[in-house]
Amino acid sequence: MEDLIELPIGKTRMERFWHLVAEQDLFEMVEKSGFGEFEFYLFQKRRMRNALLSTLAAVIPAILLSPWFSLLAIIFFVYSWRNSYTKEKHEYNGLVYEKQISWYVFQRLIVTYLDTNESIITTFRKLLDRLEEGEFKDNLYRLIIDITENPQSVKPYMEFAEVATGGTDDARTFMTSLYNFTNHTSDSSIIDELSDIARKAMMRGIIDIRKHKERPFIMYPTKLTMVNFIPMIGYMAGAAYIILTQNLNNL
Amino acid sequence: MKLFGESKVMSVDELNAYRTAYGNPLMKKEIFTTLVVPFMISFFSVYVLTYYWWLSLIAGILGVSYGFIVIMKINVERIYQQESRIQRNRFINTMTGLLANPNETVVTALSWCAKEIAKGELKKELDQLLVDLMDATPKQVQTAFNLLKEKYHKDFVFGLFMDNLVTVMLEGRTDIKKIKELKTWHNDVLEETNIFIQNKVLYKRQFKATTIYPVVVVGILTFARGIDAYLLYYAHNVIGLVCSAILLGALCFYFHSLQKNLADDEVMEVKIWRT
Repeated sequence: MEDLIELPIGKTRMERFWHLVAEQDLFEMVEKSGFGEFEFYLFQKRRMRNALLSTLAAVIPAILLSPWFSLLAIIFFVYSWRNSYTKEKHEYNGLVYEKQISWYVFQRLIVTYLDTNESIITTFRKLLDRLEEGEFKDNLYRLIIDITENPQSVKPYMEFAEVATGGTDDARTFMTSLYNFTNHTSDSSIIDELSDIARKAMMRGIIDIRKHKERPFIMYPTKLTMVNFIPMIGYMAGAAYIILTQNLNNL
Repeated sequence: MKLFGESKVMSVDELNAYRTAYGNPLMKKEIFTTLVVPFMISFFSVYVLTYYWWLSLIAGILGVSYGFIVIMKINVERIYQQESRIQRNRFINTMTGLLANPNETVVTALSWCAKEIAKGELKKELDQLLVDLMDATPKQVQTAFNLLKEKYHKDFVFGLFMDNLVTVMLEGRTDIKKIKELKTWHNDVLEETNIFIQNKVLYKRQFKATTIYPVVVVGILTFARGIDAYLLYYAHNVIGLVCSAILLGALCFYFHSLQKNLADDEVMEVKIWRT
């Protein structure tokens, strides 16, 4: 049988260009949000189109007032180009937070539901009832199926830690302890340990949310200080305008 | 919480309902801080910028309506939420303590809590719960607890606690440990919420302190070349009026965004989990 050798398809020049103009972490963000190359190019194209469209806003003042206003086009372009990135980043951060918190809740819940008399599958099923439809629920469902098919293996647990949480060390440790608890010891001291881990993780998560929500507050003084330039400039411009017109009339 | 758009303006009745839920009637001081202060601030800030008394009056009225529609609503809701959070926490802690005694049943513990610990709205709800639990079938027990759970659906841990109470009631006492876990969890969340609320007081003070800068700048401009020059160059000049409008717009925007951020006290939002 002939092996089909798949040649690595190189990127076209345009595609390489999209990668070149992207920010460092943009592709990673798109990837971790569950999208691929195609969506990445789509995003970049749309971004470029919007940025180009925004430059048109500079046309009218450039025609009516002075050609110097066409420089505004560059500012508009940079602004809207950057803006779509920050928006995406914001969305991504929200997603990461949600994922993390779900994971913390999962840890915490599994500890509260874990019972020496019940099998791990029953516990997982209880958790499944609690979840809204979504990626996390699918992952948990897959974990249950994998464990049923292959009860002695640690692999399903590790896979779950990988996909459901992005494979942090904490998640791996937690899932390994869980595996050990179900398959080897069934000792309640492991539950205590797990609950300790879960509690600490949850606490960290809550602190993170709090800090995240406190961040906008820190910027207010800077913003308030910055608006002070507006009346100053207004005063100077007004004075200049009036003095100029008066002097011109006197000529 | 969305303030503009979907949300409706609270009527006075609703405001009072929130207030009296935990016994906190309308106070004179609150009327002052949410109505008089916004009026004064918006009136004088527009007055020093434009020196038109009618424009300032319009701004003052806008300030009062903002105070009534937004600030009062936020204040009342925050006080209510915090009070109710504390009550729930106390309830959970007491229930856990009582259930540690193997002779107590859920119903006796609940009735003790309703009688001695709970206050205000929660007390009424617990009384109602106890009535519902009398001679109830397992299905009815479930629905009775679910009512409370639904009402406080934002408090995820409270929902879990309710679930555990149902389990204890229907299947008999199995393990007090789970309930204890939930108690610690709820305490942790409450502690962090308190820190958040305390920090917000600080941020609010910071915001207030920074608003002195625009006042100083406008003051310098006013007296730099005399008030007549100020009126001529800035206050009654089109360029100045446009600048004032931009300045006021920016300040209003920041203030409203501050209020929106202040309104949100929740430190544990879980979206994908059902309570």
